[in-house]
Amino acid sequence: MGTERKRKVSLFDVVDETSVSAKLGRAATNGAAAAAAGANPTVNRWNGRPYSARYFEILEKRLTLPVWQQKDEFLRALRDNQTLILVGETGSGKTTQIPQFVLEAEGLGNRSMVACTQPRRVAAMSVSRRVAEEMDVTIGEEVGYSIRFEDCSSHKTVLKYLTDGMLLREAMADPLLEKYKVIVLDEAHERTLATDVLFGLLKEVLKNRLDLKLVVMSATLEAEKFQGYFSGAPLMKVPGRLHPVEIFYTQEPERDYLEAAIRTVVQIHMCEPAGDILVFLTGEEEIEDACRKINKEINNMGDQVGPVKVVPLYSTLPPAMQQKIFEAAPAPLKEGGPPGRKIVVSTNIAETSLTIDGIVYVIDPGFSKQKVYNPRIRVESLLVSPISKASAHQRAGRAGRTQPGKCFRLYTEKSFNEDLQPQTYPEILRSNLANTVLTLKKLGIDDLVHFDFMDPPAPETLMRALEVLNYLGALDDDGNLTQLGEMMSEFPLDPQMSKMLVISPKYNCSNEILSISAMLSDEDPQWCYENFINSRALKSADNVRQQLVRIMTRFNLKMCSADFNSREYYVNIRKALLAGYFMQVAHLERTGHYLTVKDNQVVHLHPSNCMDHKPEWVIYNEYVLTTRNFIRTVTDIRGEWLIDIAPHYYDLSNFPSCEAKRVLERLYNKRERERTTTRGRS
Amino acid sequence: MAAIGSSNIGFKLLKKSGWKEGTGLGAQEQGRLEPVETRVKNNKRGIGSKESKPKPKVEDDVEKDPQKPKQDMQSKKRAKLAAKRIRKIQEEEKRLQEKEFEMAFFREFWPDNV
Repeated sequence: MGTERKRKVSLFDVVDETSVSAKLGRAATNGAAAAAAGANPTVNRWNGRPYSARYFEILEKRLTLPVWQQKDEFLRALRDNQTLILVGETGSGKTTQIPQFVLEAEGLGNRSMVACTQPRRVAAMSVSRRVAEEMDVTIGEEVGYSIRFEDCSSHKTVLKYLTDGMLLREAMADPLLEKYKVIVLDEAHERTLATDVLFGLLKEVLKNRLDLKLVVMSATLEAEKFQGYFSGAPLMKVPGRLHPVEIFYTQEPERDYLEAAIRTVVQIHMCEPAGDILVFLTGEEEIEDACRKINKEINNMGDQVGPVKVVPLYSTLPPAMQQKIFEAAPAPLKEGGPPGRKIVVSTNIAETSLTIDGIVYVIDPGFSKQKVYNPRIRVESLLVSPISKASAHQRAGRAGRTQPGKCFRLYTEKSFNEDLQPQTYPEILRSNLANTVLTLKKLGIDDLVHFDFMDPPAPETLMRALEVLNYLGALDDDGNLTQLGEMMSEFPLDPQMSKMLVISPKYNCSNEILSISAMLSDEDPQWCYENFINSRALKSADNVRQQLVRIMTRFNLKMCSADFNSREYYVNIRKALLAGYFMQVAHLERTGHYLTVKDNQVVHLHPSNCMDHKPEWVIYNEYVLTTRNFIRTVTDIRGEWLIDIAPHYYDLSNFPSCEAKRVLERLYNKRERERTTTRGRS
Repeated sequence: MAAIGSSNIGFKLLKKSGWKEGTGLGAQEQGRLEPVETRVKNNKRGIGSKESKPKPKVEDDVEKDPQKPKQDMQSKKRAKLAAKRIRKIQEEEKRLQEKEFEMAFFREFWPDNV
């Protein structure tokens, strides 16, 4: 890293404080009028109770949010259009205020429902709590939320925050989403899998329901693409509340971005005025390593520099440790001494999900862990990849939340222009689509080929999904949903897991399989990663289990267990697991390593496995791509079961030549001999 | 890795639902034809920093460079944990990786040969 950095003008809007306060007066009048939309301004229109003092206190703060300046404009646009695109940077207040504005729209009535989607569960919960407080109602009554495995709403609910995935599930039971009058898709720029599917779905629904309105909310960058997709829907811009951020680039590419990041931290601490630092790194191990090194470097400098508090931030961190990011920077060692600084070293959860006040300096090495899916080797994994320009912009913005800030990009301006792609690939291009295809089929969308995706996935990704669903028996050979598929689609789980659940009564172990499924679903690392939540603390697997039991009961699937002391007890469970996961099998080769069946990828048992030997055949829940390929959460199974439980998949006429094939051939021959002997005897 | 072939049931099902080989998905069949490339990064090189020995670009570049993992900080710890188990098979694995790399290389430049 050269000490001379190239300066670049700010990318961000500056909010002119005088213009805000000038407009504030006007907004306040509007606000008061709005609050009085009912007859009596002191009585809450939603529950008939008088407003609390707290309500007015919060209202005053709400009125200062940038989005209030455009309330009338928004309501007019909503009245005149079926679809509306609203662009606003973080801090504009759009997520909390816009759905409340919608509730005040004329002609909506008192009992029509508004939905607002969120890509993350935590956001759905916390935003709805905040909005319930702002509206002076009880959470779960007039304002509620709904996330996978948890519904906190009632017949009184008029505004519901829900994950985009939940809205998609609701569409399965209510294809025209008739209970809603207005749907707000928030954080659309994040382009999650569910949001992308909702785009295509809602485009159809809007044609069939002229009384339905759609508001798409996004950060600036992709807005025009949305406009094109929604046939020229009007676009409205809301200013954010960001201070200017100066961008610095390195003169030369960095040989080691981790080392460069640490060096930059030290440099800022020595030379820059007070203000906290946020460093973006890729994962737990790297972050812990960086924290140690930063502490060491700065301690070595003695009392020449101010004290620091170095705080790591990643999803698997215990909640108490996570809270540390909100602590204040340490005080100077002696009065008038160099100021103390808080240094947060974080994964990209600090990029959008989480706001840390007081950050003035951002260090951006340009990498994050991203989900990728390769249909050719059927592996979905988190890999360290370069970020997009949009991400880099978002990261820089984090320096301007409280005062003008600086962002240090650990790459050249040329690299920014030439090496970073404009947008992160939408999740639909980076995901296994088996579950999505099952949902679409259940929604009655038969022409998947021409479904109006904003960014259609590669044909091979869809092939792989169709293949998996066909082998699992969810789709027949014409691609139609089978009865089994219908049942599977009702479970909010991966198709493999749903299949295993539906089939488990046959193996007399549905109680056990339910518990296993609940445990595996509760620990969703990708979700935890994105949501900065320790899942153990959030929800017990027991609740998940109860929800699954409800679905099982609906289909008359019985709850049963074998005698715990019988020899069959564990064998049954392993067989049921295999009935769902027969496409995730690895075979131990004579050379001592495992090869995945059919794809012939070299894999290793993850060090976290708890087996005392290396079984000849294993099924795995997860394939982890790192410098070595690991399979994680493995179970020992027997080769015979493969040909008994999934003969259609283990059809040797359609099998690449390998050691596993020869073993299976012997097993088939053995079965054949057994059959002949039995016949001979009888 | 090679593309999914026409004997695959998923391939057949997609054709049955109206897909034509060589076209993309979507309302105007405008979708991308190839899956998004998967690359495993196993070093700490910054963006734009050139490799010391440039390698030909290979699709699905996974575990193609057996020298690099050794320098990788992240893998050090993991390697330690797994060291006992893997020492015996490492030689064999290297050979396999090289072969795999060679295959991928040929596939890239002479796709008809494989």
